Amino acid sequence: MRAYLVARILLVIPMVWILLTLVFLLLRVAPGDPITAALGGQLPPAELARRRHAAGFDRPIIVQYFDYLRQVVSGNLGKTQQGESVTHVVLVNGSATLELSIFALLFALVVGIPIGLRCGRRRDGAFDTFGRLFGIITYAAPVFFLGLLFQLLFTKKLGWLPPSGQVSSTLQAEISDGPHLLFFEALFKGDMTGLSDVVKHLILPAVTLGLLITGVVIRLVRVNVIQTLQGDYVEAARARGIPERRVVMRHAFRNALVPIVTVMGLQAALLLSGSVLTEETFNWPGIGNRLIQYLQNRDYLAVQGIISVFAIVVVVVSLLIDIVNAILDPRVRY
Amino acid sequence: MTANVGSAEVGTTQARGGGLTRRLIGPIREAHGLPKVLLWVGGGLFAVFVICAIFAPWIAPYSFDATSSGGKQFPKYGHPSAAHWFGTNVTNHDVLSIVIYGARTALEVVVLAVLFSVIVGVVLGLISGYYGGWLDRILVLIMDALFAFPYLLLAIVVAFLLAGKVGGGVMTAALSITVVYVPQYFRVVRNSVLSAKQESYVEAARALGARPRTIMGRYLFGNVIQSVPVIATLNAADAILTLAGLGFLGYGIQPGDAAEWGYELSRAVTDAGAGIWWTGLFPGLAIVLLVVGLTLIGEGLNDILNPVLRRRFGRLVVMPARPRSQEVAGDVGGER
Amino acid sequence: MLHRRSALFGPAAIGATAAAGLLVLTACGGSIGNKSDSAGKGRTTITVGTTDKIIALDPAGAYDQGSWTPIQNIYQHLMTVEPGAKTATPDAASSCSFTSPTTYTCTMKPGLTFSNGDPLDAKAAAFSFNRVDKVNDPKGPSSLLTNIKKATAQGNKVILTLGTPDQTVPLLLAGGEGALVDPKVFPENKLLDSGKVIGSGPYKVAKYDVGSQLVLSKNPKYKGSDKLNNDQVIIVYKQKASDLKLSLENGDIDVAYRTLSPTDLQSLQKESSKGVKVVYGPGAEIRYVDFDVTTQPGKQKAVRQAAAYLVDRKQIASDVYDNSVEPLYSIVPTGLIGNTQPFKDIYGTSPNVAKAKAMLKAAGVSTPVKMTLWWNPDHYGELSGDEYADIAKQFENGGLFQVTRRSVDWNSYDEDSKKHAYPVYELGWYPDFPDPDDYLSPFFIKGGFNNTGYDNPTLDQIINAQRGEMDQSKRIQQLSQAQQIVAQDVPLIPIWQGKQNAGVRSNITGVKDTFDASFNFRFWLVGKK
Repeated sequence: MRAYLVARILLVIPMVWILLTLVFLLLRVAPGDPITAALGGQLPPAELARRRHAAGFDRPIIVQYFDYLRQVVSGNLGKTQQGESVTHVVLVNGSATLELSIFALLFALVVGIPIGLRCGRRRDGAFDTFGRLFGIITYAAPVFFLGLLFQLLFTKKLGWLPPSGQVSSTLQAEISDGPHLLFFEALFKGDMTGLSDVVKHLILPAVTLGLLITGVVIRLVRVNVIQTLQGDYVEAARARGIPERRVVMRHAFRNALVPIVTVMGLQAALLLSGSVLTEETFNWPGIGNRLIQYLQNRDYLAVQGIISVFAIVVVVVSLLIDIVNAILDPRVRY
Repeated sequence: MTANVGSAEVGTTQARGGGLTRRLIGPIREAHGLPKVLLWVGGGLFAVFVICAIFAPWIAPYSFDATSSGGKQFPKYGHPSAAHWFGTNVTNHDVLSIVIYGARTALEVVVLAVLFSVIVGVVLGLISGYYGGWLDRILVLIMDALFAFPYLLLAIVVAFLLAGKVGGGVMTAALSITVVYVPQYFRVVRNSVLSAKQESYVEAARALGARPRTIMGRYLFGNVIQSVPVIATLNAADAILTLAGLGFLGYGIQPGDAAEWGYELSRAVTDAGAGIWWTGLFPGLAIVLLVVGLTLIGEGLNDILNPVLRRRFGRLVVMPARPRSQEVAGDVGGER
Repeated sequence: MLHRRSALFGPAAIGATAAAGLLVLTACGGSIGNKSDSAGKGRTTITVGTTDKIIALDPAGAYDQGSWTPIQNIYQHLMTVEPGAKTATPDAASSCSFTSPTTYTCTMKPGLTFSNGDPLDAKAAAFSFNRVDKVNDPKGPSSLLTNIKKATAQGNKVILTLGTPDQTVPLLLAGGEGALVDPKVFPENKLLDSGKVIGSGPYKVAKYDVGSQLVLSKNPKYKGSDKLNNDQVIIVYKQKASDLKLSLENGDIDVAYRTLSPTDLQSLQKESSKGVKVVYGPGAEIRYVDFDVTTQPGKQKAVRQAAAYLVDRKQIASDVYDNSVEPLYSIVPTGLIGNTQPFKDIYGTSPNVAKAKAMLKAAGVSTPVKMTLWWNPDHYGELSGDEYADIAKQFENGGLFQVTRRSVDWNSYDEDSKKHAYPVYELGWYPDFPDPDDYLSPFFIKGGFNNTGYDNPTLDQIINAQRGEMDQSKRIQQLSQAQQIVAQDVPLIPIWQGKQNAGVRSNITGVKDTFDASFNFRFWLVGKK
């Protein structure tokens, strides 16, 4: 056990290194640089070349690579073309993504678990069919398509909800700079005007992203409930004459919950990729939104910095999951 | 690293001998109830798109890049009408034709992408699983790294990179999606190989002096390949969404090269604000329907081939080497 | 069935980070809940939405419209362009003039200060010009100021020494590159953080959230002549034009400036019931088809002239751009001094297939002429694709040309187009400053920066002459000659000239007044009814 854990932890280093190298290579082979993106077409080739040189974009790739590794190791992720430190971007915009993800996940669980439970209980029944279809369709509808429909209905047609952003611009002008979990901020401060404004902005993106995960939740809960309902102890409980409802809630669901939580933890990529598209659709000031912006500006230093953070988080989280699994299930070995 | 490949694997280790088709078709023919309905509905939806894709030039009223017909210019933002059932868009193109040709693009990209990832993934998985050692370790590390990467970003970066070299066509889109899915096949196949390698018949073959190529080609491949169809179907559904996502963000197929739904949707965002609903609704629905169709097929296949969920308990269920709860629970059908 | 592993926001991670986040937030305080109510009363706040972005608010690091828009409101300049004017007038200077063809001398207004109270004097002005060159930022405007060899302060006078006689200097000084900065705040050799900049203009930076919001508030120490019709301007940075439009309709922003799509503009025009309208004004951005005269088919003048006969600018302006642009009949756009319409005079306003055919026949060119027409999808807007589909059709009209369209990403496009790789291709130009010379010298002197191989010594001579010509009427004459030569030789075909536009709430005033060729958005003119 201890040997496995030590080996597993040591494995993190090559993992991170490979990911960082991958990030670097992919971005350096990609065409373009921020200078040409912004000023190409306005300046003569010689002047462009001079500026690229001054910015260090024409240094040998290997030099840039070691510079980059040194940066990451020292915890300095560089600056964006707009002069902002990438760490700051990750903190500020990452918190916006976090807020969106929390509520999307919350929505998915609140909607998905009851549906999944009922589907699993009455397998192949009418509700099960409906539930599965619902799950499939919410998964099949692209976030941006769903978002577009929502914007049309709730903003354009009914005028109930704002089309985009995290908070009204006049309100944002009053907020101090820093990480923003605006919902919780407003809640703790008891600012009801602010809270209602934030909630109005939050509803559409959170529901859109939430629906995407709802399908996954339904399927997970359903399958696990079906599986646990086939277990011996459930049969035993039934045999003892415990009411079916209690069997499901007490035995089946509780046992199904463990794998559900684990898998949901692994579903984060869905959340992240989904949030890139959601943020893009609703102009949510999250990290995905910024990333797309940096890609468009060919701001590779910023993209590199942000993805490096992703990579490190990803590796660390997968390490944690493996460790937890190893503790829970001693049979796991590699 | 955890293998999250799940249930497809579960059904594979038992049956051996006999053709792949028989092993696949058998249970499907036996299937009844909901799984069968799922399969039929999904198959029907899918068939419609396949027909559209293959016969696009005959089915579509106009070419996807036509802006006039018989010397008559199409209207800009024309309402749905007899001449244009789904209306026309900002560039005077017929939306119905774009939707139909879009099926062709989507299927071309997805077939290529799935094919490439199956080939690369299976070959690498076989080699890695069979030989083991440092090669295996490195491949696993790289694949895990790729797998861990937020996949939409991976696809964007690769698409971006290739567009500069190859141009923004179908091949570029297919390759950028391929990169996303290779690790999954690699994992499934490698794990299957690892467990199959211990089987007596493989050991016997090795003892008899069969060459590695023969063992891999004849014994392991046949055993391993059964897990692929379910994953492939679900991946195909997923790939359609990835393609659309790429198109929506502007990193997909270049307009003019082919009709692509995601790109149409990105342009329709503006239209929708102006009350022009038809340019976005139809391409969007096409994506939803095709993905639903493929997912239904995948779900149906999974229901049938996955013994844990099978109603009839006649057969022996051989659990995979490491029965881990989330693997069994992993019936969540791809991801985006 | 397959689970992705990149667990960025797994439940555990969410829980931990959320808890940490909340702790930090509650500890920091001073945000959403604490806004002061008193500040909001009786003040006019204008919210402007845009899809532009700020690269830097330090003038030494800015060479783009997105940065220049706020810069022009935060800083004063020696010269300025009054709304609608075609020439520059003194701003922080009381007077400026050429004391010799290569010496430009300005006398500073007395008593000017920056928003922090530091004095704005001749020293500060000289410092500002020399600093741009010293900082020499890769994204900065240093290359615009190369002809200003040095700036020196003598008492209350700033003396700019020029390399060659240059009549464009007054307008150059009025641009973002001529913004005057505080020597006590700005480091001499490097950029200052955008959030910390200090100017002496009508506004000062109250708050800057990179990528999302810039808040400008009235500068109480501003001593210039412009009257402010508002107390605060919030600029909101959006990603997409469609979002800009929805926010305007929704009332979250008062002005949507740069850049609404033609479709958005069309639909906003019909939405007065929702309290919005569209305002148009002249603009100076242009698009043109460039010929590489070293390769076929553009090598022959007759081919280029035939192509010029076939272009239908009105159709492009109306069909592709919904008339949010106007046909351009000269390399110098309307709204600038000395503009003429030679392409209209020579080739007419509608396509003329017969003339084109005759042209080719006379030159002995066999038809159809094969042409590869290049365009770029990711730099000049997504409508480029539609525009070049139309231009290709127009060239093919009458069967004289056989056109193949090609496109490639911007980086390759910019590089390859200058290496004679593209025979005929799309290009655009945003003026650096609103002087006609900015549409001539860069393009044509010694073959021009596009490196198309076109070089006409007579044209070069005329362009150089007008640049140094101190007599305005003579200069206008020379400008006209230069434009005429361009239309005769057709090294490029001008297609359209942009109009500036903005979507505004109906209670907003003053936006139209600021639209002119200078591209300055003067926030102080905007008010609320």
